[in-house]
Amino acid sequence: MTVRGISGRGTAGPAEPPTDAREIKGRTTVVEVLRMFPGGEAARLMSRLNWPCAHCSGAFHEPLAVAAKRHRNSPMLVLEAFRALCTSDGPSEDLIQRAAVKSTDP
Amino acid sequence: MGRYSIPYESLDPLTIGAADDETKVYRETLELEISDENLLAAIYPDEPDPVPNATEAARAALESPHSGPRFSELLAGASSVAVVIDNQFRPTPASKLLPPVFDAIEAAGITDARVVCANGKVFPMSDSDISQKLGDENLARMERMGIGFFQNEPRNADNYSFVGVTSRGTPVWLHNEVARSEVIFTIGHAQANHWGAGGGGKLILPGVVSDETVESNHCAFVPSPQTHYGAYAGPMRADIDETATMCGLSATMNVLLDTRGRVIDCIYGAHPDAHIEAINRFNAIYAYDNPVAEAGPADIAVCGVFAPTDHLFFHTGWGCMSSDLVVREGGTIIYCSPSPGVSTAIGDFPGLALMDLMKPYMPASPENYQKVLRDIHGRNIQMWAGCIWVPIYEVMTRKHLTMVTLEENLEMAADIGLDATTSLDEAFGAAMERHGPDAKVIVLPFARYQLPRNAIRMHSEDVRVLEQVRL
Repeated sequence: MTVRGISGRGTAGPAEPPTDAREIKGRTTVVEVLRMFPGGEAARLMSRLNWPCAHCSGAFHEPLAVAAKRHRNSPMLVLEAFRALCTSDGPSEDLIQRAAVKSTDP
Repeated sequence: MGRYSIPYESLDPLTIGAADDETKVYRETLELEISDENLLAAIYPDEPDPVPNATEAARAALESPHSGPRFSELLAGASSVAVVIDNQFRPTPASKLLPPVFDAIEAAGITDARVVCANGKVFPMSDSDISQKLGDENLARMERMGIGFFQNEPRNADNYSFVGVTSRGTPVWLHNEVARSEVIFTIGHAQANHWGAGGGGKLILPGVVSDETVESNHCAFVPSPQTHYGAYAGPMRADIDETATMCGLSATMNVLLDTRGRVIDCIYGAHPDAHIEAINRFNAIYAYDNPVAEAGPADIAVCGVFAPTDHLFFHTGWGCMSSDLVVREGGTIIYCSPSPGVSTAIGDFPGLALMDLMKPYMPASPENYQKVLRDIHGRNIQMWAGCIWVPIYEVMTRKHLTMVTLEENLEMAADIGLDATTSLDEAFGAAMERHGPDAKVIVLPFARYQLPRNAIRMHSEDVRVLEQVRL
């Protein structure tokens, strides 16, 4: 089996975010959500959540819900924040702050 | 009064360091006037001329091993081979080095061969990156020869084979495509760095091992004071080379690249000897006599960056750790790095990407560093990225770091809590204000390559406390 790279520049995904926010699900992977937002909005949100996932080959095919648990964030709030990227205003500062909170549970 | 040129180079976000496309390289410099009374040292390395032809240099090296068998002898009778190359964030010109390797594989009649990208936990190369890194002619030849191309997928457990546990406790899972190969051969860029050295066995760990292996090694050894610029015998690099030995690394080809990204030497031979020789030759060019013994430490270091080291401060900023070795506690490191960011298949990343991971621990302080250490212990910090930002952060707990960078990075720098400006004169003026008119200044134009000679620890008996480096 020959494995090639991720699709090249300019062919990475749709030119626009999904029209229906429900297309972003807990099982949507990191790379899929990055490709939904070629303008970098998803990568910036990951940065705000203090996730290195946009740069990590380990996380590339990880679902958002799993990534949220790995980084001790609330999966529900994380999903809400990514879905809010589909709105004209994007996620509110308050939502980002709440989604970025790390659980202290081990 | 002397006038000093500080390289302030960058790559176009659309290219990669290995692409060798001068039209996408921006070779700017900044000028700085420093009075003779303030100057401790300005260290401009004496670099040899590049080889006339990198492909022919590689071909010659493969048949003139530093130690061990010639490449043709290594392949003779072998049934399978894995060629491990580095990724889009390393400037090794793989496209020029692969032709003689493929010639030898073809001559040996080996049909079970593969090329594996040692991308560790960094996102995989895009089709465009692959094209630039390997070259379209090589890719077409691989297609003809049936040589597959693979990248690391460190969280896909099915892709890895368990090898064992190193003497320092790192559990090792190796990429199956490498594990099943009789001959394992790496092509990389040898340079001294904060983690001991780049290239050689490092293409195995972190290059082609699993998530657990990368994180175990990095969590255990990055915070060690014995992990520092030049510490080949330090615990991190020693664990890496032991892992490579356990994985059956047969031989390595190591290029030295000058500060313009050109091949100046190519050393092939058995693991780990050939890589050690490459690092010795690198150090002979880029290590400098530490002026601290005679004149005391610098109050201010002014560091520059050169284009092949890449787009992100995350990669250009390694010299923070080398300049740390010659700057006094409480001193200032001025780091001139445009860091234009990088355009990838999954979006554009800003020049300070991944440096934002230090934000929850800002301001950098010894107290907050304890939080960092606790979160490393708790595996709450991903050390594939933390292996870079944590050492920079640790330096920042003891020294003032000022970035001189592009205006577009200032907002993100402020958000993270990094001191940044677009003006070297302003940064230098502020540093002189902090340290007074008698401040001593060292200029390290290629700080990512440069290290004080007395930091070098090539053998385990050389391992000594870091304070002896700082004198």
